[in-house]
Amino acid sequence: MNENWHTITRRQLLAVSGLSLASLGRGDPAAPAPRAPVAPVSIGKCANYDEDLVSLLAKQFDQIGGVRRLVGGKTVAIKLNLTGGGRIGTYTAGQTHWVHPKLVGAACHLMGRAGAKRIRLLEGAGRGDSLEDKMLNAGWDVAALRSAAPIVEFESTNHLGSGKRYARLKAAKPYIYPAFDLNHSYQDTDVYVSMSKLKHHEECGITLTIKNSFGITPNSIYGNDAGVDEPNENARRGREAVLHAGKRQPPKSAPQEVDFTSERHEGYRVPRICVDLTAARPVDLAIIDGIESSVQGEGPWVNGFKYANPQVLILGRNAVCTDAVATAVMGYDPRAKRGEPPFHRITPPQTPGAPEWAENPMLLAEAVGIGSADLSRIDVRGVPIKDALYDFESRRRG
Amino acid sequence: MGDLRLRRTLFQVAGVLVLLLSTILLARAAGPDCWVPARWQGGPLEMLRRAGSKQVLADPARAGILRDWYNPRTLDLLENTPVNCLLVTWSTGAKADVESEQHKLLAAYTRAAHQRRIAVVGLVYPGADPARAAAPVVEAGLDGLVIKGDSAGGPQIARELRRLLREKNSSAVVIALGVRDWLLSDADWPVLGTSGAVMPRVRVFSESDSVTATPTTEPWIDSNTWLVRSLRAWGGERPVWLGHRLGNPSEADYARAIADAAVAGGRWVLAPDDALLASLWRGQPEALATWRRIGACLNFYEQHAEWRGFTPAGSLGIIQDHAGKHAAMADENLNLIARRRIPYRVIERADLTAAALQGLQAVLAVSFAPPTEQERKLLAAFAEGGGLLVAGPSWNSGTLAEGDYAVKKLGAGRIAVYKQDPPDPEALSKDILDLLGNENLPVRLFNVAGMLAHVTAGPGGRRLLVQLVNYATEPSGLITVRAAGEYHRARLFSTDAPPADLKINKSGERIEVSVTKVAVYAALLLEK
Repeated sequence: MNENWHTITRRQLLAVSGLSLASLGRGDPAAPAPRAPVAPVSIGKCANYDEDLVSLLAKQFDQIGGVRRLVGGKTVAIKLNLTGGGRIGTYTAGQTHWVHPKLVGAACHLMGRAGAKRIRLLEGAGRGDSLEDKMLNAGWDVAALRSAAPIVEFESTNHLGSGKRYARLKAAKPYIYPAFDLNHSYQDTDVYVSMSKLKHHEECGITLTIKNSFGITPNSIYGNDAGVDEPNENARRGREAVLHAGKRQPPKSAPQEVDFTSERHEGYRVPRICVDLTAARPVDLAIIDGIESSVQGEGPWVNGFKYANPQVLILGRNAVCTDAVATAVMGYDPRAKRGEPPFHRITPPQTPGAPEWAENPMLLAEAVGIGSADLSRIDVRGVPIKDALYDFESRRRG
Repeated sequence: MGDLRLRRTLFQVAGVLVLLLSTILLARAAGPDCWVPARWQGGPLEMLRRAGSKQVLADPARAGILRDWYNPRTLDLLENTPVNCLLVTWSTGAKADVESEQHKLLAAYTRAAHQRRIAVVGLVYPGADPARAAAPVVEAGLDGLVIKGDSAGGPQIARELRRLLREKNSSAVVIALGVRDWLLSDADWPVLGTSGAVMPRVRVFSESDSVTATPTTEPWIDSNTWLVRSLRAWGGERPVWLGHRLGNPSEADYARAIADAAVAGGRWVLAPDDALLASLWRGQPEALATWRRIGACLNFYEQHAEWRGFTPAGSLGIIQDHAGKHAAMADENLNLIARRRIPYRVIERADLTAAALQGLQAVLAVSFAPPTEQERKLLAAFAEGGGLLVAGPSWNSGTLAEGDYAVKKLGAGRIAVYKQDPPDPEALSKDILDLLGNENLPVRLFNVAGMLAHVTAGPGGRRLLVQLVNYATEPSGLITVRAAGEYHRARLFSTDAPPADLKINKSGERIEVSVTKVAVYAALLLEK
């Protein structure tokens, strides 16, 4: 593990807070791609989920151009981050590693009020469960969510689901996969929302809205027990063999890797696959729940996983810009190179001597023109980064 | 006038009923069937025993309390509790004069206990001389002896004690509280008691506050419910006692140990710890309040004794064969399948008939020796009729498994045959869930990571009882219970609150009920 930790500097912080825009990234090999698109990002402060989330979210939607224009008369798909299970102590999953049900409810309510025709909540559910079952298993009030807007639907996207066939979505400039076969809900939507948690990730360093797209891949095709020729609708295993390690390919019916000889290290593959997925299914609205969260990993199964209370809600229309701002709020440099904090393994590798670095997905996304990770170009609205700063690194280590 | 006559008749009928009920209760209180046991060790012999086993009490005052415990005033503590059987220190193999002094003390104590309709049974520890343990039983008026220990000789000692007691025309019973194997090698135990149980709780393996797990791992729960079910399936109507002690228990630990045994129809032998006993002796209000609540817990299960007669409801039948070569693995199957919250029914191999398989969707038959021809036919007929049979390699279905097991069609049903003998219980429990399908379980629970459920049905199948035990130290909340069937009433019972009706939400052919909070125990009674 890289012990020369350096997180975002005071100078960088000054830069992103608008006092100096001069120095970030200058002369760096990861210099900003000048043409990558940018969009405003809003930061809001919120102590906990008992506060008035509807008002806060409404205000933040207004800060990035309003939600009515985005969702009015349209079908909206919201990919939630409900990774794994478990909990620590008395904290619910929504207080640590899942997006919180109250935030989901507030978003549905506001979108419904803004005229969304239909809202579909999406995430993979395991072992033959429905998404509603997964939510019930975490103590969510599914009935309340269902009534938060005129039409709220739920679909587990780990399999074919209610669709007749998988949707093939293509990445224009792929790193690993030129296209993906996905649950129909990712195609049959006008607006795609990635709602993620502000948290660390054991292998990749951090997990935000780009990384959240990793979960849109169905286990039936990208799971360890996916079929060889065709999808396996009874698949129940994770995606380690196909996506993380590239030890096997998805079924022949699905698009295969562009280069079978490429690096197999998960720190190389996972960020690239996430960027390919973000390119294939572009994010129209990125929402990052950092009101209550965790440090040290993506879930309680990671050694040293701890509760955190950053008290921030971040959202924007561009996933890369939003993730870049969120990374800065976490106290990291969003232009950090691979191996630099936070882009490396957090816990020691299972195989001693295995590589520990991970790529910076924002720079990968920027390089293929999805969005800019250059804080000096991003219009941050609401609370300035310096006032929202929550030092994930010291809390992780402390 | 007619009204008056009717009222008088009703009073008379009620009077007769009350008399009848009291008679039944008193008659029942006389035998081990309805003994509610508690460890009640003390006296000079207990002091000596502890010194011998190096369980020296750090606090000299507590040692004094222990020595003087058989003062009849300690019986006052049992008022308003259902405890009606005390396990007292009787024989340890100590010098004759020490044991004799203890027996004299206990003779007086037993007389006082009997006046309160409390039975007294003497604990016989390893090293005790059976002849010396049995000789003073009649004189002291003991109701029985309880053999403790973990050596192989328990059943032999029991037979010797029974013979000696018969010679003295004593009706005192001999009960085991040792390793479970003792029970299986002797058919005459009036109570199926074992100390081979665990302290029920959620186990945390990590040294830090965090839990070492994988994304889909649930916390590890130690529970004895499977053991009670296994013993009851084997032992029929005989009561089941679990005789384990709790390490440094909280009040909730007591409630959990009582509930863990009671939900499956067993009884935990209440074992108050020394600190609690000492505080009770001193009359400390907090300890007395704790004791009252423990008593209320015990009372709850005795007040709902009817539930013990409910039959396990579940779509899975597990055939139990104690003569099988993988008995330990068979136990682990019962344990882990319960932990996956798959309702099941234990079927003794001797009771394996077509009627025993009635209403089941699947039968697990991996843990018994190669089936007889008749058993084969019976199980094959079950599968051909649309059921799922899960068997071991001895079934020899002619299908080779690529993975752990192979599934092939058999008539209208399926047969899954495992390659490994016996299959890994952890993998098997997961496979069973996959094979059955979550959606086919008669009862599903949501948001219950630290909880287990015991599901039983009342006579006629019109009532379904879902008993929930929370093994975590913190209360659990926002639980959803989903059940297949047309239930129109849902009542929630707990040990510390009056029953409450809960709202039923219908969802197709199922119903869902939300339970707001479970501290340690709750029972949801669904009625059609």
